[in-house]
Amino acid sequence: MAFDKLIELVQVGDGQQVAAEVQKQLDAGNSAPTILNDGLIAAMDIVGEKMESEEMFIPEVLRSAKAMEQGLAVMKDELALDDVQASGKVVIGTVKGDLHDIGKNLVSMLLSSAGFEVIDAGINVAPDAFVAKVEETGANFLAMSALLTTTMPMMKQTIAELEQRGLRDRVKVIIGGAPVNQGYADELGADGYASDAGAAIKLAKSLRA
Amino acid sequence: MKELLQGQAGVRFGKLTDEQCAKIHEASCRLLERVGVEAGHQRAREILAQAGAKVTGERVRLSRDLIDWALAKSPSGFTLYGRGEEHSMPVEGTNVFYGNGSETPIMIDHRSGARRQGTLADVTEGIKLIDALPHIDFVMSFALPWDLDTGVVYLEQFKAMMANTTKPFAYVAPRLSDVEGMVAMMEAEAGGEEAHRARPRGLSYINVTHPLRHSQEDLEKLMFVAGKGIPLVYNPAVLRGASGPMTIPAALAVANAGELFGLVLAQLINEGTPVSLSGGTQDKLDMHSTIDVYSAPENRVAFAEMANWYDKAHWGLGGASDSKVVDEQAAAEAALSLTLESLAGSNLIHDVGYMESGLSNSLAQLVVCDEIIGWIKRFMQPLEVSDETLALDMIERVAPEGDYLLEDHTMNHLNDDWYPRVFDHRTFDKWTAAGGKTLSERAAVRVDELIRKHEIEPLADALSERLDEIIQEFKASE
Repeated sequence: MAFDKLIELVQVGDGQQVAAEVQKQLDAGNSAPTILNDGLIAAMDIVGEKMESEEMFIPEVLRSAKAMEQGLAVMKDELALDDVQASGKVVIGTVKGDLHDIGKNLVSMLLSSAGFEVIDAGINVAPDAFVAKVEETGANFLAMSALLTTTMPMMKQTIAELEQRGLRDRVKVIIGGAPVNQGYADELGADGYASDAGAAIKLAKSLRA
Repeated sequence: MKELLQGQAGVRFGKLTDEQCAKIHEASCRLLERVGVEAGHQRAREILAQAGAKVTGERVRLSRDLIDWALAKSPSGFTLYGRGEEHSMPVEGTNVFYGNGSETPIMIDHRSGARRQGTLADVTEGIKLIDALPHIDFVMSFALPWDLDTGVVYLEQFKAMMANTTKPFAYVAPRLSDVEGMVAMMEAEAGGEEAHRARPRGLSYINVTHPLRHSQEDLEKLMFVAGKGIPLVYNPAVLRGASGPMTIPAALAVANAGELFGLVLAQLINEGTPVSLSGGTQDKLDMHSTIDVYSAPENRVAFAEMANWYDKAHWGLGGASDSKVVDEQAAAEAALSLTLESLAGSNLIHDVGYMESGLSNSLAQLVVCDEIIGWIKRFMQPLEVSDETLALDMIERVAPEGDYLLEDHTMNHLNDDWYPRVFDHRTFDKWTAAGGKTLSERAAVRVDELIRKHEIEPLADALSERLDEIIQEFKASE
């Protein structure tokens, strides 16, 4: 396969070499959409499988995603926006009163690598700030994280705020964080819950479909 | 069985040399000098600036002199007191004490095995069991009571703790107001602020979200408790590879830097405030599941060694498992971590009985851990080599033909040895006759036995009413 080397380089996570290889493929006359689909995206599919089977560690997956982005940057002029338009737009953040960011950052990075456009609203995000971000960006996903049991009720308030502003039907609400569980998601009327970062990506993909 | 002495000295295990500890300390000082801490509290920054710290925006950089000054000012230990005269804990030297863990969102019901949310009744029962367990020395809040629908859940729960155990506490809450309420409740019990400072009932456990980024809440809790001059531990958590570097020495240096920052501020607020070092919770982040692994071999011992090197009390962690049920994994992880932290001379080993990365708590697992701690306490007793323990006169009289079964010496020392309560040392036939139960099944039975039999003197009516008033006062100011 013409893209074997490119696929290998994405998996290794060498961004500079990925960029160089993409350029080489363009020079050889391959079209940008072909390089994208048969090279970069094919590579990330393998990375996704290896993440699932625990052949790759999460930081390695993140590095592959970065490398893919570097390859994509080389083709930004060749690729019409439509070709790479994100298939989902996610506003993500940690709820009000909660300053934990590691889990949220992990999910953000993995969502981007899976082709979502991610708008990171940060930590300690109040319900109205979440909703304003959804409105402003036209996002179709809202992802909320909480690590403290004391801040979990903020998820409920944010969903109520979405309803009040008539935006609830426009977005899929997904939630996560150590003390959160499926029962709580059901109670809130969230669209989904994921117990870890890998599961969050699967969930978002399934809701996007 | 002879009562085992708490926290016997004797064994000290470590992996770091003094030179390596000094190197890690140097690294922390360099980080505090050059990188500093993002401190989200204005008054904290002002106090530090007045003491000579370099403040730029929210960033605070500390000089070595200031760090050395604070280390010299903070005492090497302190004592926590139970209700009444029992259960005093001198947290110093090589004394080792054990405590359960706090506020888990889930608990494992020892009767049904169900994994569910806890209620105030569960908490009350749990605290009562912990009071009854002979080897759990200090008490944390066990599970969160989900049936309480008030803004002051932490205070209602704290009252249940005060009513159901006479042992000392380690108390923790996300909000400053809850910490203030708990302290007010302990002061009411002691008979005032001064009386409580002289005989503090508990250690304030302050979790810090990030090693070098301290929030307003983190800092205001530290300043409140230090202002009272009562014991505290300020614990910046590092998840290696995420909120801190991947290698253990680097994670130690970063967490220690965050902790020294807290120590400096505490001493500036109130010279001589007793601060236990924890070295942060330097946890392994499982890079497949992204779970914060509590039982990892990488997590243990080095922090206790740093605290020993500084000659400060140490807040450690042990007896926590990542298993989902009380099984072989749970017992093995508990035994390994409790043994290592004990051998390292960690003074306050908490989170005993934790399961599932700190998400759930189990009374049956606590009973298993209590048994393991009994074993460890016996092992930790120093060996006395004396005429009495060598018993040469007797041996010369009995040996080589006789046996020792009827000797006075044997009688006098029968109670020296450790005998199990839930581990089984019987014959196969007797074990089978007793139902052939596994360890976790026997532990669940013992939970019920202890809860049924154990009695605690209730709080005096006046105190109980006063505690309710305090709770109402805090509720009203919500």
